Amino acid sequence: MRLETLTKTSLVFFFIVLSFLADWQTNLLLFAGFSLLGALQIFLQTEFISIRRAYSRFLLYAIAASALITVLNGFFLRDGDVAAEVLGITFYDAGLQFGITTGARLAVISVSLFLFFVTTPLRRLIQFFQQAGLPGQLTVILFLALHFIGQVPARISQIYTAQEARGAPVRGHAIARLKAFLAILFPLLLSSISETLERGAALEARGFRGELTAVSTTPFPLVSKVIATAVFLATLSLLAYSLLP
Amino acid sequence: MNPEISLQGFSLRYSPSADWALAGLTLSIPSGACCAILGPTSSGKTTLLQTLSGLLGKHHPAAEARGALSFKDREQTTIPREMLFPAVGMVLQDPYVMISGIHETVEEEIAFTLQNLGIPQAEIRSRVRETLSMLHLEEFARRHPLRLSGGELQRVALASILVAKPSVLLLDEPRNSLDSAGQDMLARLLRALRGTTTVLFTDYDIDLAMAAADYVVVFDKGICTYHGDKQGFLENFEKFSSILLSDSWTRSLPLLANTQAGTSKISRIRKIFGLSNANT
Repeated sequence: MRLETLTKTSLVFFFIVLSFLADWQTNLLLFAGFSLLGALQIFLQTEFISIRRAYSRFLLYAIAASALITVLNGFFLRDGDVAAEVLGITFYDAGLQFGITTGARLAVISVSLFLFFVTTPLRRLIQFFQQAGLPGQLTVILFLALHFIGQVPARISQIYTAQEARGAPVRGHAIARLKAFLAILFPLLLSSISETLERGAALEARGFRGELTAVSTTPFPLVSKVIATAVFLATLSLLAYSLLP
Repeated sequence: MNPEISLQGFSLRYSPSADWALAGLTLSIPSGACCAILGPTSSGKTTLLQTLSGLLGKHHPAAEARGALSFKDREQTTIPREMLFPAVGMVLQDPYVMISGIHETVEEEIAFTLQNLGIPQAEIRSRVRETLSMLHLEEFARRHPLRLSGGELQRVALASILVAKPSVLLLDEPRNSLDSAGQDMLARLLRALRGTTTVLFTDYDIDLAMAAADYVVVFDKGICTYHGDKQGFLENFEKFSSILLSDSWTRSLPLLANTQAGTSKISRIRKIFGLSNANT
């Protein structure tokens, strides 16, 4: 099923709000549900072949980051009863509770944003910005920024491969990777900014005048508008329900 | 033939305190000619192309020029401060940045240029088809532009400008990323454009210039050291050997042998580079 960008945007907004209102069990269930839905979409459709590995890694990192947040909070926030003692390290109830709530919330937010961006090609996103009435110049700035962000992982991979070819231990343990990443961070940013400027110049060289006329600006489909309005009202109701005494 | 582009004592610098990037250029490019601008890195080749396209004037407001620069259809008293596209089309050196990234197929990517110009859809379709055929890109029409090889991408970048039918086409080192078959195709294309489109391309090598150009301009540190036809360039090439000296000269020997003036010069080239007969 292909959702319209407007529908997806409203759903992402709804789930981000929900993640702040729901308890950690609900958030974990949402995370599991999204991960499964995403996996079905990404692993069953050939158009997503190129991001399958990235998706698996993303899930792995999201789970690892949430677990780390839980453990660190359990250790550093020394409130409430002792929950557990592992290898001489004491974990506290309130800290673990806060950690798992934050970790699960972040997992839901990140997986919903990840799914939104990987299932929305740049062209559709630009179309969405234009349909939403954003000024042309702002749309282009957003387009260049999103293109820039999208190219960064590929560029990092290219630099790592080049460094590896020179014998640098860039794909070893985590510390080696981090050291290698810090070393390339500044030149990576500079080269990416320079490339973005060049891309802007190339757009001008192709007659681009600040309006993406090539991208359709037909109004949002009625179904999308109805769904988005319903989701927005549901989000407001949820907020009102949770804030009212 | 009337000159399409004429420069009279033209000098340019990026700011009043900077050194002159181009100094005292006097040259005229006839309408419909193919002109190779040769020179080593940082000799001012790209600066000249960017000036002619309007890119430099637009993005470097502090840039100042002396002398005169004029186009056939446009009286230009100073450097252009706006893009002159579609009259003047420029393909930047890196083909990757020429791809907008918005479109999912090569034909949509090429059509993007015409959509920017507000051309009707029916005409866009026919012009895209024509351009795809001209650059032998039909088989890639439905492919994603960013999944093409460097050479294929270079052709798409060229197509994205050529589709607008500019009267002046500026190509910044167009041989980059092209294999030998791609370079042959480019040389054929440049020859086919002769008479209808004025082409200026930069290069640090002479192979493409020998294969496709009518006129040659040699740059060194912003100064034009030669401007004239290919014949004259070959007659006087010893003067430029210290500027353009590279392995490319030795690789170009067979190509020189196929030109009218080249045959009689082979022995002098051999002498300059100390080559034996077997090397050629």
